[in-house]
Amino acid sequence: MSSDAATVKPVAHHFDSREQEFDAAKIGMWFFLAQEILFFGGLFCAYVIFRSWYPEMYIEASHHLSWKMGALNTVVLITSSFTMALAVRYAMLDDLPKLKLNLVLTILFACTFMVVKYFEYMEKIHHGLLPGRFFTAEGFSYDTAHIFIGLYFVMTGLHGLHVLIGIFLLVWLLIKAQKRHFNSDYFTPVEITGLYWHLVDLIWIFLFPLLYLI
Amino acid sequence: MTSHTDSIQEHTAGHGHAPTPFGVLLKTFIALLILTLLTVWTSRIDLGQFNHLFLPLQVELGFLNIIIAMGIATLKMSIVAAFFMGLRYDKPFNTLIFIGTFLFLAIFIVYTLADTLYRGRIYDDQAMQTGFDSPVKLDTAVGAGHRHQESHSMKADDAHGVPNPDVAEKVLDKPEAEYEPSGEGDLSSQESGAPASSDGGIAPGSPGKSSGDATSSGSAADDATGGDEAGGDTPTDESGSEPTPEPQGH
Repeated sequence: MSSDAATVKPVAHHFDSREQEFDAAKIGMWFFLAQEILFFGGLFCAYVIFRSWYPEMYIEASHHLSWKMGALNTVVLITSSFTMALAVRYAMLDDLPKLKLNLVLTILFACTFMVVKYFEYMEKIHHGLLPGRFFTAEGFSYDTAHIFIGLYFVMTGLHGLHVLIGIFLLVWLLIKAQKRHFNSDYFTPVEITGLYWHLVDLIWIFLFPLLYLI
Repeated sequence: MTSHTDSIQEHTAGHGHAPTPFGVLLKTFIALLILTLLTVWTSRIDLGQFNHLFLPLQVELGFLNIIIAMGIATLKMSIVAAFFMGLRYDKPFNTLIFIGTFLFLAIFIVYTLADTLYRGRIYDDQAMQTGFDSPVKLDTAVGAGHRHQESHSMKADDAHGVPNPDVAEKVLDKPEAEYEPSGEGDLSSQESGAPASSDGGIAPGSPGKSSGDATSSGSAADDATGGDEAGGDTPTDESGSEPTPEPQGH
């Protein structure tokens, strides 16, 4: 512990204590997450509007998505959330090897998610299931099907971008953990990156049934 | 939980909450997996088969599926927020931020729907709500298929709008004529000439009373009648005859 103290970030001068600093960072992160929910909320709103207009089209178009791949990605992302929560726990418990192990596992699951997503996108592109005027697939009985596909790509694409950002953040955490920047007294970056990662999971929990299962 | 109260005492010195016990995290993880299985399973089955008492359900079963899927998703979200994100052990203010967000999201969506669901009551000129060139090539095997005008909810218009008697007759005579792109010309501007007169047609500005309502419930009938309308899938159809609140600029 005392050897770590040199590398661990000291309390910023404008905070009374480590706890106050931690709570301030966490409240800031929660407000950021609130913003993220509202940010995605615009897309969910668009989804609801078009669904209220074209309910039958949604059902037909969603059958062109692979619910098996969606379910696989759901399990992968939930598992990564679990390992992330474990990483936060072991950061608090000063267990550096287990912290690093769980960060690595989380990164691996996140990459698995993106690989599955890649194959999913490739299949859609191959079949011409693309947004807007790029839509070239045939065999639809509703001429609004490109709207659903557009929503699919924008919603999962924005979510996938969040996963990519999450991977970079997790790698950054891993490097900092390797440099012994965290201990049970200071693990704020692990905690708030964990919050971010769970939010990415939360959004997918809603995207999965809305896009794949209807 | 008593076993980790020691660690609570140990760690709350510096921080808001103690490390979440491993058992709690594991149970959360398993619960999430079970709920994922459940949401997949309920979406793959026909919920009507569980109606053993043959209850005369007033809701469509598809609607029931949405309710169940969203209920499970909300439950999963609550579990993740409470245990993975630690709101259960955290300062209540963070929970307030989280829940407050959904309040604002609800305001956002409900107020938007208050517009988009009832636009048909406002615009008499249906052409203001319609018209985009869809890139989707309809499946000609099942007929002219379903144009974007059909499936959205303009039912409000039926109770509200004033039908044009001429149009209503035309529609009754030849219900499938609404799919014919050339059909509207013969009543609107007389521009399209010969083919329109043989096909019959309906006027633009008609809210599509009988046809619009029938399609929402009887899409199978459209498939049957629309078989000879295979040519009607050109996206040049201005479709002034059918209501759509579709925003311009696609």
